[in-house]
Amino acid sequence: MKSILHAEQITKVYQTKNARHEALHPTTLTIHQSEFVSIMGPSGAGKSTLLNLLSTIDQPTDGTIHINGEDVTGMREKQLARFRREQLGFIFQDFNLLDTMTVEENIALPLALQQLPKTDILARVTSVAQELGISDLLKKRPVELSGGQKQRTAAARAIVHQPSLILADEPTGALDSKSATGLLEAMVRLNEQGATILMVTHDPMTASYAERVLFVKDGELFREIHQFGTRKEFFEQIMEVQRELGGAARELV
Amino acid sequence: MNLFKLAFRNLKNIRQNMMYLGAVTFAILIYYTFLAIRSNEAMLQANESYEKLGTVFTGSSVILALFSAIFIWYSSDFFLRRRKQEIGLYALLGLERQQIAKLMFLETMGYGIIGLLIGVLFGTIASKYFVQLLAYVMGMNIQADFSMNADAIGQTILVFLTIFLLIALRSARTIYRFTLIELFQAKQQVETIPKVHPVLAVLSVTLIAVGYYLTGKPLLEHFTLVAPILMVCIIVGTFGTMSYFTIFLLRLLSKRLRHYQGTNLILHGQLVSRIKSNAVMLSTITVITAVTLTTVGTATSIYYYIDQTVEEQMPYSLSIASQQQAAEKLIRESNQTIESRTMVNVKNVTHSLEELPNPLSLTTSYQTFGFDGEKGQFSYISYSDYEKLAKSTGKNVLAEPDSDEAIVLETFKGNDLLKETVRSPMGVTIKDDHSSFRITGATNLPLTQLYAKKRLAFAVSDDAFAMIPEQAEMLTNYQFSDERSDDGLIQRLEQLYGKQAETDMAAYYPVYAMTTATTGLLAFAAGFLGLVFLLATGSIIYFKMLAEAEESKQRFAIIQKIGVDEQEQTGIIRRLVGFMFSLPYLLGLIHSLFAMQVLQKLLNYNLVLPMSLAIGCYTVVYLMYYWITVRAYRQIVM
Repeated sequence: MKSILHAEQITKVYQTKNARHEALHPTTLTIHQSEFVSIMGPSGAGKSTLLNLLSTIDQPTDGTIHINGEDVTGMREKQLARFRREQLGFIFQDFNLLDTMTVEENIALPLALQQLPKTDILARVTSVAQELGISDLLKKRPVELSGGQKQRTAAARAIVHQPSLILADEPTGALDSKSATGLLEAMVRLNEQGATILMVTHDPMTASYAERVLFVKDGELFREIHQFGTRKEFFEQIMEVQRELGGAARELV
Repeated sequence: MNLFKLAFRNLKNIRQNMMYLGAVTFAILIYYTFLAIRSNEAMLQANESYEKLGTVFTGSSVILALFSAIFIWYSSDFFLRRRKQEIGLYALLGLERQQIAKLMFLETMGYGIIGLLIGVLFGTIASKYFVQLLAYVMGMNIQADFSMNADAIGQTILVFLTIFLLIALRSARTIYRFTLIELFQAKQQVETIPKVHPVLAVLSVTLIAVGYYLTGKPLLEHFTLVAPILMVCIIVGTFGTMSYFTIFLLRLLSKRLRHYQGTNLILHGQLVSRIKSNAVMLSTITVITAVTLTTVGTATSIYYYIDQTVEEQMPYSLSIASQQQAAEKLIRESNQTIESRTMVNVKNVTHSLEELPNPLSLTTSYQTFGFDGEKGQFSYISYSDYEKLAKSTGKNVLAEPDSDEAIVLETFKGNDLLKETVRSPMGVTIKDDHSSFRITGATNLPLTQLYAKKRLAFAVSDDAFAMIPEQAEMLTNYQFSDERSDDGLIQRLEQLYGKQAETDMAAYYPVYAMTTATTGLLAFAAGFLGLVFLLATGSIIYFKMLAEAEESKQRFAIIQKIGVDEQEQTGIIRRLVGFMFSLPYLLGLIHSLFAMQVLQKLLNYNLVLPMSLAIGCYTVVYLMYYWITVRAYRQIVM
């Protein structure tokens, strides 16, 4: 299977005058095409650092990252921006929709940035909106939407340009459980249609929708588990690892 | 720690509040400088008319004070907005509202006092140079020194303490009005999308168009009636255009194909969401820009044409009507050398005119000449004298009229009431008791500059001239080599003529000196105010844009993540800021061009050059503001 993302021995060190903080120890990971991977871990474990590095928003201190065969660690700012807009799709915890634009315009943004013709853009937006069940919201503004609707809009924006990789940072963090389930089911459907998704979360329920869960602890990959049975069994498995993780943390105290 | 200490500590955090302090200091500096110029000792001593011109200064200083108030109001608004969260934090930490209000009050006053100190100090230095500039444009030669002026300081303190008091009250009111949660959410205002009102949009633009139309013929024909209507049309139209038409335009823009291209989506969204809250500011700035450009343009034009104005009023260096020999002797004893001397015999006749030659069609002039059936005074000269005058002034010499014909002359240059070429024969007669003349030609040829009232003169054939029974009066016109300086000759001549000085002599120099001084002062005041308006409007947009930048930080963070690179972000900022600067600038410029075109008709000068000069300066400063704003905006969001 084709590898979409490959990070080789990446580290992140924050160096100040009199302190050195290693936020991420050397880490290697690979995500294959059409995979739905979740990264879990307690707060401060290095989840966000890892996601920021993988999403090219931050640069690793050491190591290389290849996305869709391209080395992104050596790119300049301008190249990176172009790369992000074409190859990556983002879903954030706080939606990050532009309140000055309509839902339709928000979703269209990645395509507009690629200078596609207007008719193509609108056709694509319509079909994506239909997929996510927000067709009748297209003319509304983000302030008029509920949290779940906002996040589905964000998801639509993340997939509209058919990126190689969708990065989701706590996508259900600001949603009630019903909206969260709706969004996650939509993400599973997208995944089944071929989208590669990398999701960061601290919620075992959310993580159980993925096929594979990576656990991060103290700046290191701690464990990796795969889903083989039902989602419910997988959820139990995740809970178990978490207990282990928590236990390990308690042992240290 | 008590409130004073806290306020003091906040004041010391000067970097953060640099812009606010700068704005306050600037306003004080300008105001004090202006007052100091007015009451400058050296100027008062050098020119007695300077004091009489005080009204120009008083009016201007009132405008300045109002302006400072608006300006400080805007900048403190930005300042306050920036600090809402900090204020919220104080409240969260348990400071009572009353205490916070006191703290804000102390801070405002603290900045006021710092601003006053720096402003007065630099104002003293600035006023010296401004006084020298003023003296230069007024054609005076004085040595200004650095001097503090107690009156000016007193008035500055009074005006600005009032302003600061108002600002402090406003800050306090903000604190009382908002709940804690609102203070924290200060930057999270929900942007509402304005509705489109196509009817109002079209109506507003129509109003401006009507205003422009009125500046043509209607204004010239019924000035007092049309002028106020025109002003209302333009001002209401401007506010309407900025409020409704811009929204209409932007909405139209977002329906176009290019809407979905690159960063246009982001730009349009940002513009549309802000336009409503910016409309009042944009219209105010448009009106101020129009007024400033017109004022500065007018002043520049008038100053630019001083020489020509005086030359028209006083075509000769000196005209005299009596004591020719004694006067000539005084002139020869002075430093002046006589370049030319022309003598004309004039007969003044009082009679009425029946009809007028065609070119004299301006209604206002009829009354001046007593043409409406009333009797008026007219001057007659012989063709020989006419020939002499025409040759000495380098004019074309028209053919000698027959005994029943006449050439009409203007006794002053300027308004070109008479066209140089008359389609002859006119078939129009002038009649008096003795004879009538058919007008066959017209020319602008000043006989003399003596007559206080403008009147028409006629050149008739030598024979016809001899037939006119009135006593001839001999007038002498001198042209000096250096009529713009005077070594006391004028005063000696005035002594010679005594009481008759007013009727029997008219010299170029006193008129020139007086005109230069008054127009110089006017031009200076207009230029000074123009500069202040310009800086203030630029700063208002600057502060408004920075407040907007603070609110847009998050949006730029989002688009950065989505993959809009720095260059594209800068492009968005450039276009955002450019829109805010160019909209009021362009509309104001067009307004002022229409106003100037009226002025050009009234003054009958070509104002292209002085106007271009004024517009050029304005544009350069505006561009600099644009550049600075883009930079500051970038620093905030990127």
